[in-house]
Amino acid sequence: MKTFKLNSETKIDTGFTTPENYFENFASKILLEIQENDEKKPIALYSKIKIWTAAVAAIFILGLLIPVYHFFENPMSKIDDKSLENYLVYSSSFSDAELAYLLDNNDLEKISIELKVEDKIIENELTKNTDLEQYLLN
Amino acid sequence: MHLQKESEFIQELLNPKTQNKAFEKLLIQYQKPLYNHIRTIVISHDDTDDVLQNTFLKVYQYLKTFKGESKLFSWMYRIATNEALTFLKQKARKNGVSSETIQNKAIENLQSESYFDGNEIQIKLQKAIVILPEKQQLVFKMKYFDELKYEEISEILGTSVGALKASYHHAVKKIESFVIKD
Repeated sequence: MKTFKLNSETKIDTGFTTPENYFENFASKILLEIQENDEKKPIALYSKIKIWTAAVAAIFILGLLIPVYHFFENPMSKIDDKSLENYLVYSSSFSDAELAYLLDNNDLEKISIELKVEDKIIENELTKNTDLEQYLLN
Repeated sequence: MHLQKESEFIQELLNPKTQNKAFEKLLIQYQKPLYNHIRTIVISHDDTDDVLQNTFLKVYQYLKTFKGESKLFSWMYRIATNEALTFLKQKARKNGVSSETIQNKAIENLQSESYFDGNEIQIKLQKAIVILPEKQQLVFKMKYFDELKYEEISEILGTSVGALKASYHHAVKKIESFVIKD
């Protein structure tokens, strides 16, 4: 009976050969192709789509963030009490009556200032200013 | 197939300053074993040349994604195997036939192929291999022709050493009975 034992026989090689200098030329060919590809570096359509998507998303997010930024960066929040008081006293169109209506007794006490004015000065002022007599009578 | 300390070599491959020189080294080191491996799958020299080019271009392209979980050698072998099998499947689909038919045709053409220096027994062996299931073919070719260790084949194909040994044993038995019958 015919027998054939692959592992006992002399090893059968593939018999495949290559053209002369094939491997020397192959390495150069691949290196050149890689160099050319690196120089071209085309942007794939998918990448372009990704860039556009990112750009649209960035604009959308910026659009949302600007009002939020303005809300937190509102100059009103940075005004100190003194500036506000000065504004109300010198620049606002609030009348004394309106201010009196808005402020309760506590507020008025807080903003009352003790002026150290000598009696003599008050007397002088009263004698000079005749209109004051009217106020005092009322 | 020992390059310098592999981790250092991988760093050279990833560093733009040393990349070109390192890739040239890689190319020179692996072009022959990868050529031989691909050729056992696609048979014709011209097809092997195409697949080998695609393999190295893919290796270069995906070097950045190589995480070092497997050896560089296994990773490249895996790319070469996938490229060769994909090539066969695409060619088969284009011709409306099976991959096995494409391989048989390539074996028939071997005698007229300029880059084949074999005789009848080599052609008979190739014909015997084609009748094996795809996985058994790969295991047999890697063990018998490429002379890889089972551990190396295991890393490339992701199959246990035990399963590979069984697969190789079955492949040898089928080939032996094919040669006796034919």
